[in-house]
Amino acid sequence: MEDSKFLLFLFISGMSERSTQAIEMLHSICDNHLAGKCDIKIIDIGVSAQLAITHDIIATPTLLRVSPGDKKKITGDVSLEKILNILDLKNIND
Amino acid sequence: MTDKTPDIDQKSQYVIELERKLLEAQSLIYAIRHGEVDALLLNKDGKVDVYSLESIDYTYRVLIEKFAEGALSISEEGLILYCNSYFSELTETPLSKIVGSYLYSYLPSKDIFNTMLKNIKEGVYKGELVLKIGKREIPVYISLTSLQPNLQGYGIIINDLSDKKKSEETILTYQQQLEEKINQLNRHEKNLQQVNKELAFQNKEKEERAGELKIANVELAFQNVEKEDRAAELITANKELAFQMEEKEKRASELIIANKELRAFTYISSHDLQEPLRKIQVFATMILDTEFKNLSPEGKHKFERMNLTALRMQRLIEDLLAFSRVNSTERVFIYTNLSEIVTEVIAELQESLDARNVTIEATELCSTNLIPFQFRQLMFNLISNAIKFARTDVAPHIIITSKILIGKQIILPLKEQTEGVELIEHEKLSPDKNYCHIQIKDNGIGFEPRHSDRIFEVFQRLHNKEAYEGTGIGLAIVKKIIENHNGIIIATSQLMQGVTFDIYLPADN
Repeated sequence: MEDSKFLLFLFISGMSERSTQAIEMLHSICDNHLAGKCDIKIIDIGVSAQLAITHDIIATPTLLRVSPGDKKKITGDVSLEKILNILDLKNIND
Repeated sequence: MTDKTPDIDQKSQYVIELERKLLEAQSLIYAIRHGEVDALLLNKDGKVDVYSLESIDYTYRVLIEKFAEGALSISEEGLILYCNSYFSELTETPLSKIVGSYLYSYLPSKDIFNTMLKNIKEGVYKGELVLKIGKREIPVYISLTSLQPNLQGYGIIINDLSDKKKSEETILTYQQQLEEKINQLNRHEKNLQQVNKELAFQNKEKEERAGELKIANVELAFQNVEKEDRAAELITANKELAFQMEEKEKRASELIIANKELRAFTYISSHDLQEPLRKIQVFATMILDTEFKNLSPEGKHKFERMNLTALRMQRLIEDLLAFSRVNSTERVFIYTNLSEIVTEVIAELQESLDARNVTIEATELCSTNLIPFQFRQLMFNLISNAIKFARTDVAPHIIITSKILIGKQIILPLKEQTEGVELIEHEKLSPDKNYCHIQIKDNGIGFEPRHSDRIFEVFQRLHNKEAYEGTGIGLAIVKKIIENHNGIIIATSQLMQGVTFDIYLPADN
């Protein structure tokens, strides 16, 4: 599992408080607990609506695990628990 | 059992998939329920609709409202649907008035609005223009963006350029002023260049002149030295001349006094001499009448000679008196015809003329102002002189003529040995005055030309008194009379060729 990095997409909607909080939280967790394990891309559905359709995004903010393995997404505020869940990790040391 | 195993595996795999989907769905529902969602996406046949919750717009609204840019949204027809507060402040118009009005009502013309719409189909319209709101004009930078495909209509951002324009104008003004100054400086520079050229040229000229002047100065310095030498010489010469002049003046005043004394002496002595002489003559006559016959022949001869000497002395005294009278008597000029005087003199001398067989030829003479008795004396003396100095071989012949001349017509004959005299006489004649020229010409013995002045001096006799009788005063009297008349007299002669007297008298009407 540690051979390849996780590729994560965060779909947000413009500059709303919730979206900016989500970006901040994701970066904070990845940098502090999963350093070097994640590549993160922020996608504004106002700019790239088609990408949101492709990935069957219904609401923002939504965090999507693109690879490796199956796609998996969680909607709502970003938290450490949700990130561990989407990465199929039991705890941060795995 | 083996049939069941793959089925179980398949089913367990399906459960995992369901769990994952359930997790996704639960998280979605939870998020929506708890307000953790800010936008929903709807997929209608491939077309995306985004439903933003209000919280999303907030930042945009803050940006749009608070930023110092005007923001509008308009319909395709130009109806203003939204306007931010900044634009309202900029245009000093209430929001409620702007929303619902047409954009082109704020533009210089509707054509500009149409041009904007035309351009916007090719992308974004951007440009500067002037907004007209009421009487105000606001220069702005406007940019239009199509809101399609989501919305029909356009979004507009307006930047106020008033300050920028002002700055630009100020800059332009400064620039123009600078350009003007630069132009002025250029002109000044050109002028200066011209002036410099001229100055350079003038300097060159001046240097050349200076060079010339230096040379000239050297020459002048040399000349100055010479001049100073000359000046010193002149000063010395002047001093000498001044001294000589002083001496001459002294002499002249001495001479005037001496002349006066001499005249007085001549008159008095002549007068006083007459008295004893007369007594001598009276006694001589008495002796002649009584005692003369008793004398020896020797005594008689001596007595006769004594008597003649007394007679000569009487004449001498008479002539001296006449001469002094000519000097001292009052001069009364009378307009007189010269022919009358000549006629009178001829009558007076008739006996002598007859005795010596003299012929006098006198034409009609001119008239002028003169002193009659003096002029009679003059004619008498001249004619007497002509008779006295007649040649023995021919009968005396006297020709008297006269004519009126203008001063400049008179050419005085050059005389030998007369330095200065002739010139002085010349100066007496004014070139524009009329003169009576009287000529008295005889055929007598004449004289050598060198004596032409001497003959007019008192007691100057050219001949011894035995050969020709006379006192030597006659011509001196003539000269004096002519001088009294402001005229001149010139005697010209050659030995044995007769004498010509030329008299020039001022001829007044």
